[in-house]
Amino acid sequence: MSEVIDFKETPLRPTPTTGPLSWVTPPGTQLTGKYHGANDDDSGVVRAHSTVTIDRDADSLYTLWRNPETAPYWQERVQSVTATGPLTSHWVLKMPMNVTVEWDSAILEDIPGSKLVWRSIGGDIEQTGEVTFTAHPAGRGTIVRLVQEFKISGVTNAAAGVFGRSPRQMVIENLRHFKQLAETGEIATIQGQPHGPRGLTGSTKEALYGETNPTPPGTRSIA
Amino acid sequence: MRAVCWMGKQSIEVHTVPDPAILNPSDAIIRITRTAICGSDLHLYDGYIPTMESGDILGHEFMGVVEEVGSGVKKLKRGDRVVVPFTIACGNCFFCKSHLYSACDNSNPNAHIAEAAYGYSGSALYGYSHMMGGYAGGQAQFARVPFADVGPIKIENDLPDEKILFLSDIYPTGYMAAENANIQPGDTVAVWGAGPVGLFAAASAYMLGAGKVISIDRFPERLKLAEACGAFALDYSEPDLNVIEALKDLTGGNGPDSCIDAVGMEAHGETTGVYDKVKQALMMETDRPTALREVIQAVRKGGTVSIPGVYGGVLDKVNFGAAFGKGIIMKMGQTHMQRYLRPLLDRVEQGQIDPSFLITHRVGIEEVPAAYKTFRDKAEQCVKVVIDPWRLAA
Repeated sequence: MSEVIDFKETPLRPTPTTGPLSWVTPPGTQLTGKYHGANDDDSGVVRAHSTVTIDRDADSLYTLWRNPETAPYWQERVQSVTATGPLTSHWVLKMPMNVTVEWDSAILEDIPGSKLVWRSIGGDIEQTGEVTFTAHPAGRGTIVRLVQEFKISGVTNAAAGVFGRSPRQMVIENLRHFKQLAETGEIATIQGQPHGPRGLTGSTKEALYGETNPTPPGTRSIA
Repeated sequence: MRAVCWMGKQSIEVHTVPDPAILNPSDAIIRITRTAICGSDLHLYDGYIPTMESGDILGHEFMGVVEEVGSGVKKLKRGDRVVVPFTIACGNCFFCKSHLYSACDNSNPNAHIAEAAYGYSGSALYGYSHMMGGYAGGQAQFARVPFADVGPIKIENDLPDEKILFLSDIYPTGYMAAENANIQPGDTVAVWGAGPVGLFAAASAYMLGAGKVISIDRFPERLKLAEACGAFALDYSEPDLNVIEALKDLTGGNGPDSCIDAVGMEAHGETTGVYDKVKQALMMETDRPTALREVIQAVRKGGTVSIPGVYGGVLDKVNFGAAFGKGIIMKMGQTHMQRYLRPLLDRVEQGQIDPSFLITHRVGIEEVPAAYKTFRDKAEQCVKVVIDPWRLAA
C-alpha cells in the first residue's frame, strides 16, 4: 500500500465557519466539517453522505437544487421552504407524531453548475451540507455527491430510525428521490395502493421498512 | 376488487380490497382479463423470499385492458389491450437506456432494503416482496402499472389472451435463458427443469439454432411437453441413472455446450437433496442449489451456464472449483423484459410458437389458494395455472 488516506483527519471542505456568513454562527456550536462515524465520539455530529450518477447535465441539476422552494417536492418530510433572501431560506420539517422542526438556512458557497454549501443559521436544528455536480467521465450524465451533517444526540438519531428514517438514511433517500425526479419526472411510490389485512406484525414492519414515511410528491401535485 | 393475498407461509387468501388508483403521472390502471401463477410465486408461497408481509397482493403475470391513465401517459389510452411485463422499468436511467431493464435504478421505492441485501437494487417487480418494491401484484381484478409508456405492450391483433399472456414473464424468461446460453448452430443444450420456463427455454434454444436439446425432469407430463418441443427427455428419477454420465453419453463424451438451470432455489435432487433441505429448514442456507451444482458439473469445458431459475440468498457448497477449472461462462438474472416483448410477440403472430401449449389448469379467482397448493405439489399433472380474475365461482 503506497498511500493511506485518513478520512478522519481529512476535511472534506473548508470549515463552514470560515464562510461568508460565519458571523451569524452562535459561538461554541460550530460544525467541523470533518468525518465522523455514527455518534461514536463526543462531538454529537451525525454525518451522512451519498453519491449517485444522474443522466442529466450538471446545470439543470444545479438549477433544481439551487431553488430551495422545490425541496418539498423531493425531500422527505419537508413541509415548506420559503426564500427569505438571495442566500437564505426558512425550512419547516414535519416529523412523526406531529413534531415540527424549523430552522433558517444560508448558502455559504455557490458555484453555479458545480457546487453548493449551506448551513443552518438558527432554529431547532443545527446542520450543514454540501452538494457537488461533476460531469461523468464516460458521458453518463452528472455525478452528484451529497454530504450532510446534523448536530443531534445519538438517542435522537436512533429514535428517528425507529419512527421513520434515521437522518443518515434520509439523506440517502432524498438524493435518490432527487435522481428519480430528475430522470423520470416522478418519485416511485407504493403509498396509497391497496393491500389485504396486514395483521399486527405486518403493520409494525411497514414502519421498519420506512414505508410509513411519506414519499415526497414529486410532480404528482404540480403535473 | 377481489385480490389474491399472501397471508403467511403456505397461506394464500382471496380478499376484497380497495381498487387501485393512479398515484403518479405515468401510472395506468389495468382491468385484468387473465393472469397466472408463476413457478417463482411458489418461492413466496413456501416462505423463501424475505420481506413478504401479510396482505401483500400476489402475481406478476397479467394482461388486460387499460381502464385509466395518468396525466403523463402518452402511448396508452383507455380501452387499449396490453400485456404487462413483470419488471417495472423507468426507461430513462442508464440501465434502461442500456436495455438492462431489470436493473432499472428508479422503480424501487424500497431500494434501501435491496441495497442492504444485494449491494444495489434491481428494478421493482409486481407482487414480489417489499425488497423488490412492494408493488401490489396482478392476481387481482385491477392493477396499477407505473411507467405505463415503458412496460406494457399494446396488442393489436385478435389472438386470444392465453396465446399472449405468457409474454408477461415465462416466455421471455425462457427465451432470454436460451439467449444467455450463447448457442452456436448445432450446439447441444441441456435444460434442467421442464416447467414453464424450462419448456420455453427448450423451444427457444431450437429457435436460436441448437442442434439438440435435452430436457431433464422427473414428471412424465412435463417430459412429454418437452418432447413436444422437440427435446430429448431425460428422467433423472429413473433408477441407476446418473445425470452427468447420461449427458456425457448423449454428447459424445464432451458434455453439453450449454446448460440451463430452469429450476432455482427449491430444487429436488437425489444425492444432496436431503442435506440442503435440512440446512434450508434450519435457516442455515437460503437456497437449495442442487440444480446449480449439476449444471456446473455437467457443462463442457469452456461452455456456458445460463440461470433463469431464481436464487434469493446465500448458497452453500457450490462447486465453484469446477466452474473455474473448466473455464465456463455464467449468465443469469431477472429477465430484461422490455427488450423481448415486441420480437417475441412477432413470433406468436407469425405462428412460430403457441405459448398456450403448457396450460393445464384454468381457475376462477376464488380457486387460486387451492391452485397454489396443486401447482406446488405438481398434483393433477399441473404445469401451468391460468386465472380468470372475474370468474368468481367454479
